[in-house]
Amino acid sequence: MNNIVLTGVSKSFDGREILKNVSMRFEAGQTVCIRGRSGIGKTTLLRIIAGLMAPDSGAVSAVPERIGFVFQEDRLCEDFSALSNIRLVTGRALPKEDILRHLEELELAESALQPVRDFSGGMKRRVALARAVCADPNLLILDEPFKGLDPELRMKVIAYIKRHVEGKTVLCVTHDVSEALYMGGTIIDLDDLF
Amino acid sequence: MKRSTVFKFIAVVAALLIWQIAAMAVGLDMLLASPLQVAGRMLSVWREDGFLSTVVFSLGRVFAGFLLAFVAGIVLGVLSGRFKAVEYMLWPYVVTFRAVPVASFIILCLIWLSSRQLTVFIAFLIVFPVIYGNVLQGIKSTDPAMKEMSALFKVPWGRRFLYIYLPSIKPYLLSACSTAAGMAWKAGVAAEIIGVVKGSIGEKLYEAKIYLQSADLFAWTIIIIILSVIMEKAFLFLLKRAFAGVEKL
Repeated sequence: MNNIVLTGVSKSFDGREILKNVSMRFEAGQTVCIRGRSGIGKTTLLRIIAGLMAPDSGAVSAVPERIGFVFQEDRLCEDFSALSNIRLVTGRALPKEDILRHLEELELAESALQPVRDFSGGMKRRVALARAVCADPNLLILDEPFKGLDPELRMKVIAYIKRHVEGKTVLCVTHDVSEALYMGGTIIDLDDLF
Repeated sequence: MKRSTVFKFIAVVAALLIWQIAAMAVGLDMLLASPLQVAGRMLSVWREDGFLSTVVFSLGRVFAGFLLAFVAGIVLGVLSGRFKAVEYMLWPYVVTFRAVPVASFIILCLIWLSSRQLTVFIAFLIVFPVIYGNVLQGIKSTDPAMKEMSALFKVPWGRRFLYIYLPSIKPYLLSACSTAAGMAWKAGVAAEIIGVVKGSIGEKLYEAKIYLQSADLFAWTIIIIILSVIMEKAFLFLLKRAFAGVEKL
């Protein structure tokens, strides 16, 4: 796995420059928490790294093939169960028992076969997290992954992520300093950089 | 009993009363049979020789045309949603099917096909654009965020179709089937009347017109409505079960 390198990345929306000539480097296997005020370009940065958005100028290199992404919105198939939502990305590559074990770790075992449309916001968030982790990514991108979780559950979810992503690159956007500290690794404050 | 049900019941009784008064005013059974005469004819018509074979003949052909259009509409709708070139290639046919009067197709088909195949073909022509258009619309209205998510996770197309596109198509397809079932019967029976298809419900309606038997006309029309409703409800029931089965995957 190589380091992810951004070189002179710029991006504007409707004439408003969000990212201006950004050059960064993320070490392979490292956890990086990205902070910054609203609208500074945290999500844009993640989307450019994931290849979901092209920069106006500059380049991103050495992004791994397999990416797991927890979007700000859950983006779940509402009519399907938690198990099915994970199966969508894993197929039969990950046995059902393993998926159920992941859901159990996130306290969702009893609801594993229920349609996620009946889930609370926090439950949906955990399904989205399990889906990204179960995809066995080399790069895990988390965009405000703990939104809607109570503090106790937040700690459990952070522990779950740390257990399963050892040796993988994790980029996590969060507003909360304590979350960033619990996640470990490097903390980058975009307010200081841009 | 719900208030709306009571009002609907009153409306039906009022409509039947108006019909009865109109029949009495006309005073000629052959021009306008009364509701009571039609009810009497309904009770006798199903005991006549060949009733069941007539019903099976038309029902089988209308349903066959509907089913063929359902399958073709889904397959081609999905292909058009995925490949813009297919949508463009099919555009002239779909526009033609929608715009050309059904009578023109019936006459054209009578030149090309035997009258026994006519109902299937006409039901197909009428139903296909409805199913196709709705499936395509369903695919086009699929949430871009979900499409982006499935692309990021590199979900294979088959799975993407089942989990992302099918739920989006579902309401469109159910609504299309509900509309198209009635349309299939209307067009199918019209084709049978124009083609005087032997052994069909259309032939019975044609005979009712020739012999000025308005009670027969109304009785067979009510039978068509009943068959249409049964076909629609049964098909939608099975379709909803199929969707529920997919959601449990």
